[in-house]
Amino acid sequence: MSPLDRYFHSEYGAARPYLFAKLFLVLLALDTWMLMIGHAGRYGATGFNVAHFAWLDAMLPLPTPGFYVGVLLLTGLLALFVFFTGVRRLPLLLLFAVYTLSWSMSMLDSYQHHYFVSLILLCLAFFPQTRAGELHPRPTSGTEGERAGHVYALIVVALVAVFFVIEKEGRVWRSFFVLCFAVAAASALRRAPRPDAPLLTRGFGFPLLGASVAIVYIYTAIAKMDENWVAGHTIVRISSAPVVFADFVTWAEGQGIGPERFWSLFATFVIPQEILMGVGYLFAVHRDRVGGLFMELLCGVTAVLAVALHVGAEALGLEIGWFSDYMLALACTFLLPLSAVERLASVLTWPARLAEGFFAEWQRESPADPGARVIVALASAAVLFGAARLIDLPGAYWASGVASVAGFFMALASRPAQDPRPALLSLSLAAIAMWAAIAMSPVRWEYYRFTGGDHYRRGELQAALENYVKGERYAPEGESRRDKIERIRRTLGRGD
Amino acid sequence: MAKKRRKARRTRQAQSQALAAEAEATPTGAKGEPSAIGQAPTPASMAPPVAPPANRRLANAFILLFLAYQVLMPLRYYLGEGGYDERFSWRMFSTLRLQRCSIAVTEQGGDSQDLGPRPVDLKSELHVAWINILKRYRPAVVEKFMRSRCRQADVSSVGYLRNCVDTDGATLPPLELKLDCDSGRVQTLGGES
Repeated sequence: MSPLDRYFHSEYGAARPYLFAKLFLVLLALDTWMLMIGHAGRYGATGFNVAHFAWLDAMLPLPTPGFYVGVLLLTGLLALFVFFTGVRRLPLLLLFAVYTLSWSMSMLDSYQHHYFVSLILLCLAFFPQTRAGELHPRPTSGTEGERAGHVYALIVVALVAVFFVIEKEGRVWRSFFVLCFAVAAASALRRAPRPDAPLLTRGFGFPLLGASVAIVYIYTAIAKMDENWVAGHTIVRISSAPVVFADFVTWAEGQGIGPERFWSLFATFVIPQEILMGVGYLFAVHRDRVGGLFMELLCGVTAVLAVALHVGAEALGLEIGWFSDYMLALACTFLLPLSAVERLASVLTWPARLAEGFFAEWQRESPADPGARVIVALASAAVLFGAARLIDLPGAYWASGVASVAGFFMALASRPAQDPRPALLSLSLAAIAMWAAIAMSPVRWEYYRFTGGDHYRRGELQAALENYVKGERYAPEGESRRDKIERIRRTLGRGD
Repeated sequence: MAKKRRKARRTRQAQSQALAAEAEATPTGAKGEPSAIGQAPTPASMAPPVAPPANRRLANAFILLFLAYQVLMPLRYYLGEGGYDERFSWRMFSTLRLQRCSIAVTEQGGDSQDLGPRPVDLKSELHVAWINILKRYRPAVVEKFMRSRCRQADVSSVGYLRNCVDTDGATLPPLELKLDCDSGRVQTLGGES
């Protein structure tokens, strides 16, 4: 085997890519629905747009809020569809294309982490296609294991509820850690079925992702090799660093290190930190095969540095969306010992293992004849359009239409031996999750408020009024714009 | 305990090497997928064999292309002109991004040369997000906006002026561009473009 073969085609713990794919796809769906949609109103405003690539500019019509929202809704639906049905190359390549379109259609989205998410999606298409039942067997019906699993399922439902409550306050990183801690506690309570024999797998997508993360960290370190960064000026300028780290500054002053020197040291330390993290990810993909003290130490140190860097970034209140959550999901699955990842996977795969058993039984007892396929496809379309109606955002209907057509295609074009019903049911579940995520988040309020505000600034009062009025339905407590609406109405009345 | 782990690891390594060698000899292995659903999980010693050499060669070509793209794309920024377009270069929180800048866009009419340039009211012409991008001097955006002004009646040239303060508080030399609507040429009058 060549060194390239050894690096990209060797085996590693199957729980790692499985768990990462699941965490990442859920995060991606929630990110698109609960965060990205809020700024859709700026797309196409005043008829001006520049895409990230000149060829895309020439190819695409002027983006509109409806088009952008539709693309985001489809992205989330597809992400959850893959989450439910398993990592498959074609849907993932499609997801990569749709998500990449969402950020590349306009330079209004200049978040580098959206570009990074696209790179991850491309790697994900080449991940091993492991099923939950292959990672860990399903406990026999009526046993202690099954009872423990049901208790666990209840805990997960409670955790998801807690997640949304905290998420509403906009503290993403805190909710992430509450969730991690609770899942870790749940996994400690519930013994992993076979901790002695972790399943190994191959597939070049996972090591390729490790190498890609390494490249990103090393380049971010290079970007900081700059006079102003090393002097500490830039880090002080970034949001609330002097406030958040005020205690450290005071402590350093007590040690004879002035604030300027402190910030310089603080900023300079990030450079070797990121380089070491890059190196750590390069090695981590071989941890399960090679092992050894050096590997354990390197991965352990990298994990600590990764948590420190990304939690620190969240503490600073940087405007980076859910980037830290994606990076922490990477750290959990690449850098923790396989035994810990296995244990987390054994807990998190419980619902999937139950679902696999349920579908197998369903398929045995009720074969998928053509009539049944069409009925399930129709039901799935009804759920999709119902969700679109409840969502009340531009673009929701066309996105549901596209997803419904894809559902009918699955129902009619799948081979007789294939049963499309689980996939169609997954699509319906994804649609329900889409409505729930949007309804529980303030994203509709943000969308209508920002769009109304933009029209107002440009003096387009009628359009501003329409958006503010629509937004009132979703205004969180104490955020109402009733006064502004009255002001605009009075102005328009005088104008008439 | 540690001894036991080391022994298990050595056994795993030896077995995986043997499997890899076997797959080289008989290129009919699985495509990196574990055992089928319903079967017991594959034990560690039964990791799937590596893909056949032909598949691996194809995969390796893709891997090399993908990695080369990822290395070269940001490198383009450092080896090229660099400048203010930091996209795809992983320059989050770069000093350039954190500079504090103000801009003014002006236009001059063909018939009213004597009156001098008149300011463009950016807030009424653009969404505030685009104004922020203009402040950051993303060349493609600046140029497209200036060209869009040329399409207005009675505009013969468009000017763009950007003044910035660096993160250390130092005032940077102003950047001034001028687009001649007839020739379509953009001229840099001051600062670095």
